[in-house]
Amino acid sequence: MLSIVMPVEIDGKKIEIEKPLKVQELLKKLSLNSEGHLVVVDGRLVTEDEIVSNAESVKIIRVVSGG
Amino acid sequence: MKCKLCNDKAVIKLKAHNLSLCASHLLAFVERRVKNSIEKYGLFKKDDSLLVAVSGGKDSLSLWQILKKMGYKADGLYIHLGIDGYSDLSLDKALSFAKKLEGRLWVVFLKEIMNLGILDLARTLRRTYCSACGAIKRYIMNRISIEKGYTVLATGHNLDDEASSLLGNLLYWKEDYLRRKSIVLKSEEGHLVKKVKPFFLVSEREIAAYAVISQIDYIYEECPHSRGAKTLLYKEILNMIEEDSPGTKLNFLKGFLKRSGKVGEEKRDEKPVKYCISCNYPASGEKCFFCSLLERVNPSGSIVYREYSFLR
Repeated sequence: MLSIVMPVEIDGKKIEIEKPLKVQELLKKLSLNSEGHLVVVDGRLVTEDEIVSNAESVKIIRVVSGG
Repeated sequence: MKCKLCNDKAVIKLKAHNLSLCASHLLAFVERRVKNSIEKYGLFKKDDSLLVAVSGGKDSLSLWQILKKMGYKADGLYIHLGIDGYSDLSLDKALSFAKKLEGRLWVVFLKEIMNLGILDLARTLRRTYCSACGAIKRYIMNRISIEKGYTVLATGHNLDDEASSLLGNLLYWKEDYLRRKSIVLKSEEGHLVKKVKPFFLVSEREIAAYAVISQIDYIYEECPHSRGAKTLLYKEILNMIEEDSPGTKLNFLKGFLKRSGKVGEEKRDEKPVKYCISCNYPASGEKCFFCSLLERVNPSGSIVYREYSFLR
């Protein structure tokens, strides 16, 4: 069976993730802490319960900075 | 998920505050947190002249925007550290933002003063990169504040920066650093400007959301020399705890403030303070570390500021 994938951008790199899935599942799948990341779907910030299905762009923003 | 305040679609859930917010209420939330800190801790007043240390990152640019929006007289200062492929990009972000904000930005090029970038200077000082960078930036920020008549220097240090450095200082019992840690550091006439951290109780995630919603074009890339820094490890650990127990970082820092004595009455080093004979900055010998360094690497050098004014 063909899986439906979508491109997800993180740290300037594109990866492919199977959809649909919830934002919190997306973060979990990538082993990312929700406190340290924000998710922007089609240019809009979304909460963790949002289901990503027909999005054109999904971007994960790392919020941690500084040395 | 709905916004708890207006029932519109929420864009973020703030577990530490048990609050889900829409875009406009998240902006108002962050601005109110800053306003409350300014008032509660007496950071500055309306007639103060503020200098905001601007790096081109989300924290400093958001802070500058909020202070200007609140009606404060706030100019920016950017320090170009001479880091290949990074400093030019972050300067570009800072300048574009100053233009958008119709503000005044002071720019200092480290190589113009020292003939060397921060990496070579760290080697000369025999200090780690982050330690040399912090000390040199603190010196320049203080010097321009005093010379240009700013009464307050504001930095974008946020809850995560402060909680992670508190953890690091506790782990190694750095008592001097612990004693000096505060949301406000008082001034010393002619020597040290008052320093404040209006984002002290605002988390990095809240500020990043503020920047994204406000469409602030900030530098996303990390300083190439901060990779592997302990601070990043402490932040990661604290975020793991925070995910499991929301509000931990805030309690950690608020608990520290409560226990560290009256805020704003922070004690400086109790040893007799000496001042540099060249520039009046606190020094351990005749000259401060910065003037001694300048004498070593570029004896004819001096501090040069460039002014970019987009004021209307």
